[in-house]
Amino acid sequence: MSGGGARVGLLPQLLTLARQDSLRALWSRRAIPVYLLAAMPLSVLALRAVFRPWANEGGTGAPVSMIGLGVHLFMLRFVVFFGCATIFINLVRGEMLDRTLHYRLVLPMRREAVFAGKYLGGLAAALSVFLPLALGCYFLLHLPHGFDAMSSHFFSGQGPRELLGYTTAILLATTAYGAFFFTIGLFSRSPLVPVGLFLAWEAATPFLPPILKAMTVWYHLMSFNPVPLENGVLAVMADPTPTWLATVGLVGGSALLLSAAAWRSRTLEINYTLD
Amino acid sequence: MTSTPDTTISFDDVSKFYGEVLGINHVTLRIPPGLTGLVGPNGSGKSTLLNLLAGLIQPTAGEIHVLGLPPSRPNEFFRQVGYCTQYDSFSDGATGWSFLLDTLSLHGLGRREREDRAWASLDQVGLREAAKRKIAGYSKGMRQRIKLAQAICHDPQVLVLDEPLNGLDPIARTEMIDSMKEFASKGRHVLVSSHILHEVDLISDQVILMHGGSVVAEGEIRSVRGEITSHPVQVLIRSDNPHTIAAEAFRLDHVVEARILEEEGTLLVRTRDADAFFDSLQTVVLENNIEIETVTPADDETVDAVYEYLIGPEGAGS
Ligand SMILES: Nc1ncnc2c1ncn2[C@@H]1O[C@H](COP(=O)(O)OP(=O)(O)OP(=O)(O)O)[C@@H](O)[C@H]1O
Ligand SMILES: [Mg+2]
Repeated sequence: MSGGGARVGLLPQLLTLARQDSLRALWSRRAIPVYLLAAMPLSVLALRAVFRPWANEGGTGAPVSMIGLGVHLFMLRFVVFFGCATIFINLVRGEMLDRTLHYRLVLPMRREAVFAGKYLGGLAAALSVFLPLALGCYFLLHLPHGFDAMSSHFFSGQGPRELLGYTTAILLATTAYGAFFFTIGLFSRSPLVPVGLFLAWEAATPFLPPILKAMTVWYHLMSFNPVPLENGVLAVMADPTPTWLATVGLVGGSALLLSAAAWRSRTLEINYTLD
Repeated sequence: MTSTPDTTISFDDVSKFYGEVLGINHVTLRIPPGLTGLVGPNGSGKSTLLNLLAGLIQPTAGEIHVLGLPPSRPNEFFRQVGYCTQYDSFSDGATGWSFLLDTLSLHGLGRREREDRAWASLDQVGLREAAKRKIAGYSKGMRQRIKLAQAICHDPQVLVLDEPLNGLDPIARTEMIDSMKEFASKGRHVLVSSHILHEVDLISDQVILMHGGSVVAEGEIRSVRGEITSHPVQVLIRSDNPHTIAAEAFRLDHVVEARILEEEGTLLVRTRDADAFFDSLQTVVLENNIEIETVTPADDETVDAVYEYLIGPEGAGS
């Protein structure tokens, strides 16, 4: 009797699966929309850097920071939102369509561990696109203003504060949007409808009463804006929760969604014929 | 550990409904170790039974155990069980080698052991040379074999194969059958589904016949084989040299008819002894260096003959 395989700790197994799935998520043809999304802010900022060298005049004061905030909001609403939708829904649904999901379900791993590994893999894949992208955008934003302006902006402390705010927001946005879309992928056969509804819900955040606001991801993400939102519709949002509370809210909400996913994973059925 | 470990695969009154659609109905089975053939026509519930066994779908009612373990405990269950679906799908860009190594690393083996086992299972299915090539470029037979390698690479006690002989040419079939036999010879389980009775009957220690979601017969069906051999079987062979095969086929006394069809390269053979025919076919193919594209037994006739024998003419072939 062999009953093959070493008794192995859960964590190495989970991390191995996460690594395999993150590579797969990044190298698959299904990742193409993610790269196209990522190319949008990059190419706009690159064009600006190339064609507006005179932007030098303005220095690196408020206007540049405001553009930075605009880019950041675009990142969150479009790149991170739809990027997460693409990556995290496909972790399960893509494998169902490819008829490869069963390979993950005949492993000596508890279902919860398999799906936790997949989620981690999604996180790793998404962040390895979004975080460098955010840094690249920030660099391109300041590039046309010259290296002197860039370094003084940076060493005055404003630069690091902005970067920290942006990257933290992206990290938490990926965690939360990822958890939502991952769970959707496990529950729904046609994820487009829930994605549309969720987008509408997120976009409606400024107009929601406070109680409902707290149930959006967007509201919490606004706490990390290093530059205050000043006017317009967005001003309705100018009253953010403290960052620690926003972090707890986002991480807690994600944990809740993921426990629903874990519960669902135990009874998930392979059904290739209907797809 | 108890003193007598459970060595069977057991189904206790298991039913599965897909919504309103019946998958299998009140199935109770005790399967001892050895090679077991699961036979039935399309839609009879073979895949449903095997997928339930592997925990890929949940029973509507009843319980399933393999060596005393339920599929709901995958961390122990899948150390003992290897599984192949009937689907021919692999992740993008996988090579035979990466496919096996990815699996083995998820079984928690160290690098050295992973590689040893990957080579060992590649050797077992005869794919050593093709290991580093993309699976997308494999032939149907090679894909079936790499799936088998993936199912056995962690050295399970129980091997579950859904339609592993589908689409294989005679040589690949023989090799696949040899691999399965070898695996089963060590007191292990191999459970193989097929919609072609003589294909598995010949090699199986026991046969389970399914029809309409129910088990209609189980055990040794060899006694029924007399019935089948006297009933001619049709085989369609697509190759680059149908004429040579036809000429050779005519010389066999169990061949009733050998006719080249309009469709290019297709030969229809009717024989009273399919097993003997497949043996001769293999020799002819090897001696004349013929490229075989497909061999498809027109099988339902045979299965129906058995059903008719077992459950009376009304129940058969519906
Ligand atoms: N996911 C599903 N949803 C609905 N009905 C299904 C599903 N899978 C199988 N069925 C039905 O259950 C019955 C048994 O199907 P199953 O796939 O188990 O048969 P099978 O013997 O494997 O057939 P085949 O030889 O075609 O593979 C069929 O009537 C089939 O239509
Ligand atoms: Mg089937």
